[in-house]
Amino acid sequence: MKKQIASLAVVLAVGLGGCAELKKIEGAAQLATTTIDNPVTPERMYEAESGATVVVSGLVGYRRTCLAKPRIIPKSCRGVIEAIQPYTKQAEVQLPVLRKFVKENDQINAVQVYNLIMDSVNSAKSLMTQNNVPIPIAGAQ
Amino acid sequence: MDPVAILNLIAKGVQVAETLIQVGENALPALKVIWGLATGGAKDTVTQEEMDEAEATLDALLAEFNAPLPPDDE
Repeated sequence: MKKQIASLAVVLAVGLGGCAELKKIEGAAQLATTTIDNPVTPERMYEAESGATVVVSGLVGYRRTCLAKPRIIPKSCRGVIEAIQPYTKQAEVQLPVLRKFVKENDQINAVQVYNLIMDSVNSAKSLMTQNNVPIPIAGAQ
Repeated sequence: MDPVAILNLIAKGVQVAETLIQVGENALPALKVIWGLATGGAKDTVTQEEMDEAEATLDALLAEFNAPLPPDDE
């Protein structure tokens, strides 16, 4: 029953969202880098963090599946997680720094840190794709 | 919008939700984010409350994924 409800929730989210919103979702998950001409506003940071949340949700699901007892997937998943972690750890360290710069509207530093985080998340996404780790967005792979 | 793209999105969303549920975990954070993006993505304005919630969700997910793996007892 729980499974049916969760599946239905995703279908409903997509169904209610419609095509325009699907494009927004895909856009949010693209996690593109930026330049000083295109400042990191709080709205932009929110969009990027939402996109990163979708990606990291997929990683957490993979980790939980990897550690499940009895084993569901081959133990080589541990190596995949360890290969991705340097990038996600970089993002974890840099996010508070980015939030501080955006709050202070220090755009020169905000853009640098934003790009560093986007590079890290995109590297993690590439490794996810290479290793068949599911990402819950059609356009994110 | 290409119907195949829509079906792909549905399939991937369901795949992740089912994976989380299969291992007995709560899929709500991921579903909330997918829902939020579907219904209000790329907003023009964001409240502080929405920012705080998004940051807390991402921080919690990153902390869980980045935690050291427990020893493999096999």
